[in-house]
Amino acid sequence: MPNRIDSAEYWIEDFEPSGDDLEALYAHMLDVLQPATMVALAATVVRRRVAAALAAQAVNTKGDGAVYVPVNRFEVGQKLVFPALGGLNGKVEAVRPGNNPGQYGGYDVIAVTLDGRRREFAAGIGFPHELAQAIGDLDADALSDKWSRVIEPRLRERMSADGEWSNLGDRWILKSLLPEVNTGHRNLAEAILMLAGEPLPAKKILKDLDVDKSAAEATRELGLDLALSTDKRFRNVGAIEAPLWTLATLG
Amino acid sequence: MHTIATIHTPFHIDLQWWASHGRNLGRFLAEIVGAEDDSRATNTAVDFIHPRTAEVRQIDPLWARVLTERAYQPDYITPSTPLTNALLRALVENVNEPMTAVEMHRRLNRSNPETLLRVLKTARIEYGIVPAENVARQ
Repeated sequence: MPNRIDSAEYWIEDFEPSGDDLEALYAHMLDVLQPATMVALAATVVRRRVAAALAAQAVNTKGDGAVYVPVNRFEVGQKLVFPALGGLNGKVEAVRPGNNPGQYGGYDVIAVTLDGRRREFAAGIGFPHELAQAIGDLDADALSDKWSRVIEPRLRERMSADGEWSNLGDRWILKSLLPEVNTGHRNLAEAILMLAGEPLPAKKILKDLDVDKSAAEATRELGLDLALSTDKRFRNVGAIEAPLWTLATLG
Repeated sequence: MHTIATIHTPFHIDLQWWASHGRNLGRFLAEIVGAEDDSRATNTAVDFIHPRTAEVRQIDPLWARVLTERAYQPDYITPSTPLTNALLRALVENVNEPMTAVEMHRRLNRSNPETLLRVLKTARIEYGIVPAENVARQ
């Protein structure tokens, strides 16, 4: 039997960030518009998966038919709903044995016409599959608390390879949300630090910079921190999570 | 008749092109899975179960191996994969369901849709990737 979404095996052994997980994170960031920690993003992923499982369960109560879950077997004439296909529904028209047991073990293939097109789906599979959950009552908060830190490293690895994200330490954001910090801004930051005579956080430097004020404060701070971190004129003498900037020439 | 391709024009692999140009897609697929030959002697189509929808497609056995063993993994398409090769791999992964430049960009996380469209337009020469002019989007 595939592992249930509320099992340790699902999160520890089976979990790999999917395209849908990343889509959910893009949407989340476009909603909050400010940096998030990796564990917070991991919590979003756990909640998305739980929500998807619960949505599938909810569809089952609408009377359009049984929810298609590939671990189950179905009979000709049975009505099915396909949550993964936007809730399309249809009747099972045929059942045949699967022809690739070497790869998948024993399984059936059902034929269903959806939106006028005859399509085939697996049934009775015995291997882990994203849809192959037998869903019970799920508590998104409890699962999130329990598994976010477990999946955090795999999510970080995936997002580090995704060109749409930027991070400094454990502050992550979509690049497209960062305000522009141009050469003029950095030149001005250099002058501010020279006059200050002491290391300053981005928050203080920003008071005198005209960086896009429509962006959230935390986003502007991360934008400036990222810009200064790649400019050799500046040196971080604070922590990576809370940088304090000084001029490299001040030793 | 040719239409003007945009970033929303779906492209697919023209399998007839491979045959008519004496090219062997099986060899390309064999390279991906590290097989010694393309094993196309056993040409009986086998089931492939989609990892997200569990939809079943009957496809070439070697293509099925690519999908079950290599596709959908982080190292299937990497930043160092040549761009035209990456486009072909993306279509292979999508079981040759047509993809637009926008969808390619989302999958590859590289360049931008406009640049990918330019590459797609030239990919016929190398890999027989052409606009799926008669394919309705689903």
